[in-house]
Amino acid sequence: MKKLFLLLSLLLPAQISAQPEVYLETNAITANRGDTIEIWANFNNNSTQTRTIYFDFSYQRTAFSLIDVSFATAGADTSAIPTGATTSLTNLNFVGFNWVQTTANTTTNGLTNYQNMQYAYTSGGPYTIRRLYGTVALPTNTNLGTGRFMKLKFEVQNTAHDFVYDSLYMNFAFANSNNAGWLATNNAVSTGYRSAFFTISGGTAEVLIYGTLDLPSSVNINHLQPRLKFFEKYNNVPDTLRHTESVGSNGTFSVTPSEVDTDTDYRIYLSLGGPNGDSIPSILNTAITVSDFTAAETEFSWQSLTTGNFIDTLFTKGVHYMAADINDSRGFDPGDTGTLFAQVAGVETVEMTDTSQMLLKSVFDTVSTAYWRVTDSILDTQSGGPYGMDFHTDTTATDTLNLKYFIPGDVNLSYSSALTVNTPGAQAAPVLANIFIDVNLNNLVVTTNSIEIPFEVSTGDQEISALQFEVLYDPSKLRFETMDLGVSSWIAFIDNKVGQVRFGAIDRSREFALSGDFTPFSLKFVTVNNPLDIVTQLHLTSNMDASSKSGHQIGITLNSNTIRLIGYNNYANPGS
Amino acid sequence: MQIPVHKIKLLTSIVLILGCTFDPVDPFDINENITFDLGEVPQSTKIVSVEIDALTKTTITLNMDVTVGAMYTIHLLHLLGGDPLAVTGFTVTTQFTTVQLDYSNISNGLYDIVLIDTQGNSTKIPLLLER
Repeated sequence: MKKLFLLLSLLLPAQISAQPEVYLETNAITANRGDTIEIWANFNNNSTQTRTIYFDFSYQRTAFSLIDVSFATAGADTSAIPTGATTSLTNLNFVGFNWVQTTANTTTNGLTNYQNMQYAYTSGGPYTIRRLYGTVALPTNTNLGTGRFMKLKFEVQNTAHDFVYDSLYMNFAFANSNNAGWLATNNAVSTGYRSAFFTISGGTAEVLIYGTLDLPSSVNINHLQPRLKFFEKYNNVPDTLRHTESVGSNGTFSVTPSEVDTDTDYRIYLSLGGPNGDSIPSILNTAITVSDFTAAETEFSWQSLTTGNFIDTLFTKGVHYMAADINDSRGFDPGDTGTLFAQVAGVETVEMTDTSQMLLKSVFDTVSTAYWRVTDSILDTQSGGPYGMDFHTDTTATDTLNLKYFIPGDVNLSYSSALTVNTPGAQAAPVLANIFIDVNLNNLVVTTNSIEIPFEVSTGDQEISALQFEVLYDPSKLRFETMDLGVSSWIAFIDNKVGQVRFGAIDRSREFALSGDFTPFSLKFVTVNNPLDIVTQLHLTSNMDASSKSGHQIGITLNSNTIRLIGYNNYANPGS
Repeated sequence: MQIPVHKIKLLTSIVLILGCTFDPVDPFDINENITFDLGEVPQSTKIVSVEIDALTKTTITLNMDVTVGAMYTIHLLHLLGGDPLAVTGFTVTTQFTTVQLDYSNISNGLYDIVLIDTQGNSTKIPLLLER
């Protein structure tokens, strides 16, 4: 009977109660630097007995300072909090953390988003996570209503004129009720918003040059660190570095008359990887993956035997060939494919200075496969060549400069600017759109010192010829030992650093492409301490890639990007 | 551009290494003959409710909907992850199981309680300790 009541108590709330809702009252606020901004998080009780609401917000702490959090006045007309209520707040700040959006944690259910939360941490980073845990004590037989619940008050910081603002995000908000515990909670389903953008004006200096650098959606701006270097020209030669302008996370930049002179000749270069180019090896490893090699080698091997010309099967635009010309010979030759393969395999053969290939957007999108080698065709529209750009500043008017770039070896432009293709249905890159293979990763209960992690692949009918992944692990708990290869006819590679292993395999001859279900890799680790006590996780980074038999890049669908390893004692022992 | 010979050698050595396998020695002396019984395959991993002892505010009662015969572990974590502050394992004898957790040595604050089964499935709830 006791079980029956418990069962009923579990089922009843799900059957008779609707979900509460939490939402932001507005999604757009305009303010000046130095102003305060108030934004309300509102609540729709929807017949629940909610007593606590748990929030997670992220925002740019360098632009907005949270100076106060308060509850709506109990009993006020607009308030969700009734007369006689008392409130309490737990307010926690996690500087440098930012929410990582995934499909699983951007749903309209705040409880689901909480269950699937993911964060990235950057020491001293510009974002912060604010956790707010608001509790109300209500008079007997009283519940929350519908209306304002909690107010966040920000002060706008005195940011630079070209600071790129981001929104305030309510990553999750969910409710706890007296009778049913933590509740599935709608976040801005029927009304309101889950994020708010603050438009900041005032104090903006006059802008002489405004422009954009087209960034791919996958880019990590702290990784790429794109900056434009303005060299003043004397006798038509770039001579003195006058200004370095950082490009914002949305790709925009602006330069003021105090930074460069009016009516003056400059040559502009794009610099990637930080002031000393420290991130360049990592950028190359992110940008150049197995499908770049398979695409390049396929295009190269299919050239016409009679004319020696390439037939532009995968490389449909001139910029593909420009990216493939790794050795900068102004031709696409065996040296390029060999260098590309070595780079993919972990031997860092691709050379890139901190001055990268930057083109005017109009040139990048239109340079043809026939004329990409003809330097004059680029100089006709872009004086300064593919590595720089000559530019003359106006006297007063604001100039607009729209730019794109590519990374040497990134032939499918996965970490470079995207091609804009005017012809409907035309292929923008050597990529098979909407074709995915599945990769399954399983959590493990650890019972031995040696741990084997299989990567189970399911391709369906799609034949694949290359795969690569990258795994991060905690070196204080695990040591990488080796990798078992399940595709023995392919050429494998491993690039193992402390806490990070990048690995993959390529069917270079394209004779042993595989389809169906198979296990191409099994990673083997040993535990540093007693395996029965271990609690750790392996994380797959976004640096993964797959290629079809035809050399095109195809997508990968993971069942999880985390592999959880938990020692047996954590299950068997009642306490520690 | 030619690939330098030393890099070709390095690449070859990387490939050759793959053909070798280690036979790692277990320094923790775990008896290979021991069979670790992981119990039944979990079908349910749910936290129904949590109660904090009103008097001491250190004893937490966790009510769960779990699978009889399956093994689970409960972790107390800082909000944004990291190593668990407390770990409690148990094997289920009734579907609606209650476990009492002694968090008297845990300082005041906001935490996550995470219930994890042997398949790695998990669910979590917030826990506010205020004394």
